[in-house]
Amino acid sequence: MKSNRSRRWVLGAALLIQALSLPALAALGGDLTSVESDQLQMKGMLRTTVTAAYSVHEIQAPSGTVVREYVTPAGKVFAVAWSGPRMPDLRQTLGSYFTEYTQAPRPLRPNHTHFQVADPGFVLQSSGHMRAYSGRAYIPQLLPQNVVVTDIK
Amino acid sequence: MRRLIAVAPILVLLLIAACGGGGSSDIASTGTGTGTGTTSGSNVAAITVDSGPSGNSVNTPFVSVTVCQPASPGTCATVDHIEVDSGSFGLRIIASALPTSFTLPAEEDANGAAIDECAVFGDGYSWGSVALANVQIAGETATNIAVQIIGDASSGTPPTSCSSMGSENENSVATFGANGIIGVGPFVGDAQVYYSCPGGTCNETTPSAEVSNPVASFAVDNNGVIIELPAVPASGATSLTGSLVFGIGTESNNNLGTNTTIYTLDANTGTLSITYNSNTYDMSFLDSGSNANYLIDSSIPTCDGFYCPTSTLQLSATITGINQAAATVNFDVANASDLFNNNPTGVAFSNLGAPNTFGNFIDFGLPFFFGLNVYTAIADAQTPGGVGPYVAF
Repeated sequence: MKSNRSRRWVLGAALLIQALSLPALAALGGDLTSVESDQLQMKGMLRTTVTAAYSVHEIQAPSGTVVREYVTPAGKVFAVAWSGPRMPDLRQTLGSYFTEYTQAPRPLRPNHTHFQVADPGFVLQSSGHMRAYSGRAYIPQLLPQNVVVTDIK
Repeated sequence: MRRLIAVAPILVLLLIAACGGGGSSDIASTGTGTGTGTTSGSNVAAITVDSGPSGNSVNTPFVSVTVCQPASPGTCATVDHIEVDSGSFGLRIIASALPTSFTLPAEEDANGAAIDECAVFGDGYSWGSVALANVQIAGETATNIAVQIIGDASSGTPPTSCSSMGSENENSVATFGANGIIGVGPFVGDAQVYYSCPGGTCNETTPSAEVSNPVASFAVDNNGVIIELPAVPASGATSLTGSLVFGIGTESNNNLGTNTTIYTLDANTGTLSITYNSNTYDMSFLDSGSNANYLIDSSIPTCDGFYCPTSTLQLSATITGINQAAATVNFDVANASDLFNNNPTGVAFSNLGAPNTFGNFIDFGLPFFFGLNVYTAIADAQTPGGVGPYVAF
């Protein structure tokens, strides 16, 4: 137990140092460096929490909207989630998956509150209304072992 | 003017006192109500639920709205199939739904540059210019307020920061599913992103007037609305009419009924709590703009974005206002595929459910409104039942 804990701490410290020192890149599906890119883009504050299976980097934009980026121990962003009064910049947050998002089929019946993409390699769930939006996107294949979808929130 | 019988469609099984000053009532919202949804008066607009101008809508309420030039109030255009949305704020009209000869003056910034807006919904965004109009609906008029004209030529292409906030620019009747939308939710302003675009380059700006809930700008009956719709049988309905009543306790036809309970809403988000399957979701809401009851329940099979259980489920949830007033709501979720196949021309289904795949909320959509009179009071507005924001039913 003790060695597990210290390994976790070392991993956490390593991730934090990486996050603070590397240049900007992509987002969902990208490397840990993309977190800093998103932080700069959103002019937001960054808070990092580390668990055994993944780390979560939380960015709060001036609008009040919070974006959480879930990163594997290997440094890959496997999920993102957002909530708040303004939709985040999804082109930035979804990175290369933004195109898949915009090309996804529309609902069969019009509605203005919910949208989802359920491709084999990309899942996105967006919902909400004016003043309160929320959503998440993840890459099923990148989910670390012992991580379930409900952990992404 | 006919007196509104506010509680007729509601089967109140139980009304007991609870701690904290609230009450608890059990409400069967399963098509047992007897209300007709037909109230008349100069503060009443007729609601029609049909397949809409895109032909594929279900559970979508529409009204007709007239917009007039503020400087020439007799020069007007009436647009039908404007969606009634208690989950947004302000009037938006798809440009192509207006006569080509009809124009409204643009809202401009201090330098004379036109103001454009990026209106974001849960499923996409709508880009268009902001215009000033007198908005007339039933006998009510909101004078010289900001409205959005979606997809008009003068607004051009949305800036990247707008198109980054949604999957699709819903700028046509076909993509929007309506000729426009009238947001009559519990706030005045829409809290969206505005731009000034001198020379075609758009920068975010704060406009002098944002697109706002027209009801708040009416001379009278301006503290909220009632959406009144009749009950719908389990097999669905091929047509449905109801009423959008303006004002709460301002006329003889819009009083809070004695068995109507007020559930106050969060002052920032307009949300309340709904408990379902022993989980409480704090960001929940009642939304006439949602075409189903959107639940969080991974045990129910889905098809085509709706729930498709093998047999009809009888479910219940508890709605709790910020004021701790609580109601238990019983409702059914039937197999959506069977509903649509067995009633191909059906436009209203009380038992249509869908997964809310993510989020801390249950979204009771139009099925919740069938057989009920649902009041929405605007934030900070005075009503006989207290100050908004609240919902009541």
